[in-house]
Amino acid sequence: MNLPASQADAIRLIEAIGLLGVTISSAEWLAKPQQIRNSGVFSWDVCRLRAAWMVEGPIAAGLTVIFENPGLTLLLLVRPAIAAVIAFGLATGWMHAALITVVALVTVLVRVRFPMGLDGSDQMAGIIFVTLSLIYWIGTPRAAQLGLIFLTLQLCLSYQAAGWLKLRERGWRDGTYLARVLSSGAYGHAAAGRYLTDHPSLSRMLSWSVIALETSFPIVFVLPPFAAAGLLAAGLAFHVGTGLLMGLNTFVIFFGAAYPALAYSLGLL
Amino acid sequence: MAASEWILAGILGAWLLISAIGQINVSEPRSVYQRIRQWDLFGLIPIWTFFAPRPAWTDYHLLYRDRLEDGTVSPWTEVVPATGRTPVQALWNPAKRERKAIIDIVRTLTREIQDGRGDLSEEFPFAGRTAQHLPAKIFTSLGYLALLHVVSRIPRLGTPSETQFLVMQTDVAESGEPEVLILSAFHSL
Repeated sequence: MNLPASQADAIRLIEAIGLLGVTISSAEWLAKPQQIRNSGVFSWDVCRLRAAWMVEGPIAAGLTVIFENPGLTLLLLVRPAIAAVIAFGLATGWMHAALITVVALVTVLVRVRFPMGLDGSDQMAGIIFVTLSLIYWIGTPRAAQLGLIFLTLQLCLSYQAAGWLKLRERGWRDGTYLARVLSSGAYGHAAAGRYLTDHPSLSRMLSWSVIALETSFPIVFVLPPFAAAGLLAAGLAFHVGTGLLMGLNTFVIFFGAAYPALAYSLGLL
Repeated sequence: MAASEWILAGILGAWLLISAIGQINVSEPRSVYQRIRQWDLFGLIPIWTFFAPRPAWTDYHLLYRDRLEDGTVSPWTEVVPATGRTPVQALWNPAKRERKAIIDIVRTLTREIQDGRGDLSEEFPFAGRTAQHLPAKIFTSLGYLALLHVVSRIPRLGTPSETQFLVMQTDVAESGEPEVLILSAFHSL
């Protein structure tokens, strides 16, 4: 695949960050093996009850092989193994494309396997690797450009959708929702939650900062370069903040992985 | 453009369009996304909400207790106890999946209870409801079975004959006092 340097650099960076993300994601599943056993929260015996074809028939039998241990553990090990092969430069050409396609396939299979416990970062992971696979198999500069623009637009859509939804809610506008979610055990940070509860004006200001960032994000395409860089930094800071305060580590990684596509798209203007 | 590039443009364009349409009224029970999701086996159509419209500030606690063969009942034990936030979790947070799963399952179950009782309109109006008050079909619902499965498969030292689960909710920003959300019946082990 011969691509202009700007495309090749962006794709290489997206791939590297994305592979780091799926490696961490797989390792997190495997770090708590009891949760993916049939005795755990993510028991396949229970997860498959959502569809009759997952319970009986030839497809169900096939899924059981890959979605129950030891198949599931092997499935989760595939992505870190491929990440290592690519990191050491052991795959080139069609082999590289095939391996990224396998990563994409495993990433979407993980979404089939786990109907709960996933979040928006897993969605972004699936979108990134399916798009990279398509780019690699077609292998032309035009295909790379289309894929990178697509990832950019998905990133902008994510901010737009979330921003306008927040703007409609009084609790987001007055800052109470931010203070409350940061006070929760699941997504909160005890000290930050307490501080924002005690300082509602700060919570309101931060809440409006998030809303403003998300709703105004597409203006990045018309801003002068230094201002666009500032908006990108603010976007990344938002994800780092959610990682630190809410423990959403894969949000930082997978949304961060889409930023090289955005930087490339800005360079087209 | 080559034919393959036209096909790619079509695929990515359609994907983006469906993704955008899926965001319309996403918080409504009969949103476009809910209809799309039935066909989106691989979860490739995203729902981009980032904690909107209402973030999950309620914490759910899944507990269980056993009835032994001599009739005595064990104390309540929490299945996934909450842990404090640490900076390391910005890089490595394996516990988040299990906790999110409990939230997802409880939310599914409360929705199933709500669907079974049309007169309940608040988000979580079931506080204080015991198994006797739950609609009968809830006992075979995916959410109920999932929670029962989790507590039933926990290794025990003794040989209890029955187990019961309890879902409690807390809202630190409010009183912080735990409140009973769902209390199951006793089920044979």
